[in-house]
Amino acid sequence: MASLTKFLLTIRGHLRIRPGSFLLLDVTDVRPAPRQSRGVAYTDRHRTEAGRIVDLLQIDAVRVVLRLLAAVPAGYVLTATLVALMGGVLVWLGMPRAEAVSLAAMLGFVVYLLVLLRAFSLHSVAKLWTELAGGTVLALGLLWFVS
Amino acid sequence: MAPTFRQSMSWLHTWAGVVLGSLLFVIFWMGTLSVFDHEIDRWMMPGTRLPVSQDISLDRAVPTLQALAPDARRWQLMLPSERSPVLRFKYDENGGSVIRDINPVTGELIPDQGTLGGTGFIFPFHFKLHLEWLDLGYWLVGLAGMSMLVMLVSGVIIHRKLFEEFFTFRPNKRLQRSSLDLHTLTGVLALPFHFVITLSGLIIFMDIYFPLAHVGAYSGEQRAKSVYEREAGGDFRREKANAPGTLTSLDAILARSEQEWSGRAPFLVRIWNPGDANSYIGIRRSPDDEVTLNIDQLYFDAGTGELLYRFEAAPVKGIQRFIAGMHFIRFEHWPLRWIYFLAGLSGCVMIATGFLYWLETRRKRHTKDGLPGVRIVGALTVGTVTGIVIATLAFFVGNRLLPLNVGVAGVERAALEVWIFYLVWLAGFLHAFFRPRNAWREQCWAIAVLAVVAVVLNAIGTGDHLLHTMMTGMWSVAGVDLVLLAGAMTAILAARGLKRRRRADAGVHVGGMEMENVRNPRKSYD
Repeated sequence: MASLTKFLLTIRGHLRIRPGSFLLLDVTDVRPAPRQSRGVAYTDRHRTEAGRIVDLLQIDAVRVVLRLLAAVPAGYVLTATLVALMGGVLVWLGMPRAEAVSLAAMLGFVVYLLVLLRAFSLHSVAKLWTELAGGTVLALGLLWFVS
Repeated sequence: MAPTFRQSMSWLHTWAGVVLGSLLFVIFWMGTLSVFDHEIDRWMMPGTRLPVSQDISLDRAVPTLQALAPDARRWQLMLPSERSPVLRFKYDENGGSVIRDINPVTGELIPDQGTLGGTGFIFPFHFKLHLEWLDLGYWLVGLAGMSMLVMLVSGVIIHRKLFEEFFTFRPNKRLQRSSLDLHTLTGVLALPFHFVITLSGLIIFMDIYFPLAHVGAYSGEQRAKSVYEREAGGDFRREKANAPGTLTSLDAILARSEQEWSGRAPFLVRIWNPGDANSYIGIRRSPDDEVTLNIDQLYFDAGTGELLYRFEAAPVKGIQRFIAGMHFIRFEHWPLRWIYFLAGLSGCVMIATGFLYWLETRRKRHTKDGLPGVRIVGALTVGTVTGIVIATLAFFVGNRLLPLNVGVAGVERAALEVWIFYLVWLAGFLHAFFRPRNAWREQCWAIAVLAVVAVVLNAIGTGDHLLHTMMTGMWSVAGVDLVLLAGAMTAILAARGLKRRRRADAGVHVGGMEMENVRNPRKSYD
């Protein structure tokens, strides 16, 4: 993931896209953080080939797109899998089938809301993708097991 | 993402708002109008302004149905109600569905009013944006709905002083301050409404948004999806016999249904394969008398009137129908209907002021750095907010101006009205982009003029002027007229306020709105 980010940053350098610009708007609302925040070492800095230090926390187009893809489509896939799994589990617990599906689908929106909020609060995009992929694989495995 | 959770939520709130705010505003605006969709129908379809009558008969309408759609696969009849005094007849023709209104007392066809009206244009716009391809409209609305939930939660998180700001509105402060105040005020005041209306809106279409929700519960089942739908929502089907059959008295079926439901009324009658020996009738129970948008059904043999099948939702599905009912507000409750309308408007104000705040906080910086963001988002905001109001009013004015059976180059009257809506809306965006300094004020004047013109045209064209409608208790038409006039008043006040502010401020005028104050405007009133 780090190398992918580096690769995309290089492309961005070639395209001369301003850091912090996203769809012609400026996205630098979040100020570069102090190096120490909440006692966690702040390591998201990255040296480009040109030797310039790019503060990756300063939100840029590449990371915004990666995060959006994680949150909206990938987060949806995780949610939809969890909904199907929840339906299966509720049936296993003795609920009538159609009722189980209705309950799971209704709760699905709350699940998706939580997934979205987490996707936009996690510090690292790599960790976010790991969590989503891991969660989806786990949920799919359990779904296969339940059914 | 950002170092602290609150900063992350602030970023999310800002950018979800800027990117999806326009879409959300459109959905909120159309949803707010949909609260009064039947009343808008009466206003736009003068031929259907009938008195409410108890002496209705479906049997008297049957010859009309047979003449209109003898070979239709299904007839659907929506019974008259307090808000909609006509018998709405819907049937399939050439792959599309046709809706015609019938006088429920005489059974005669009402001349085609040539409009989609509130129930056919504004209400579906609210949930599917009239984008049919791949259900794209539903999915965009779903995305906007989820982003609304995200923004409500993140909005609460980023406010440290929620309760203090609850009571704070400083209209005479700088625009940046007062727009944020108004944003917080409308957001917090109607927060429960916003949250419930959004979540319930999503839950209504849960089978669209989670199309594979059944795979875990129905594993190993053949055609699991349709089995699930039948178990959850009820369904009865019978093949055609391809032999001629008779049709029993529909009025008797209605009476029988009311009996089966211990006096609670039916509202929807559907007849499959009319005229066939295996034809059958499905009845749905009215949602008028309770919050729940029920899916109770009774099915009868169309020839003998024998009860074939009955369905009532199971408990969890019942909860889903209750949640849907809260959103749809199909039940009769006028005070609540007005509260929904006002809460919907407060949602519109919340979204619009959110945009204003974003613009005002960035105007200086974008000007200095030569970024086009404020210019683009400014035009987007004006075109979305006042633009769609103007387009809606043009839709109304067009409805009163176009003659009844007009058609241009093969485009039917109803489609012409829709074209007027979209073209005027597009013009609103262009105007906002090319006249950024005056866009708000000029569009406010356009709203005022169009709203008054609509009221005048209704009075001239139909004779149902305000005095007449209020004296005779034709409150659907009177209500639309009064809201139009109130809207015109608000727009005039806004336009004058904008002008006053501009005079008061020797501000920097670049892009979007013209109100970058340098001194306290309150001083100028002294």
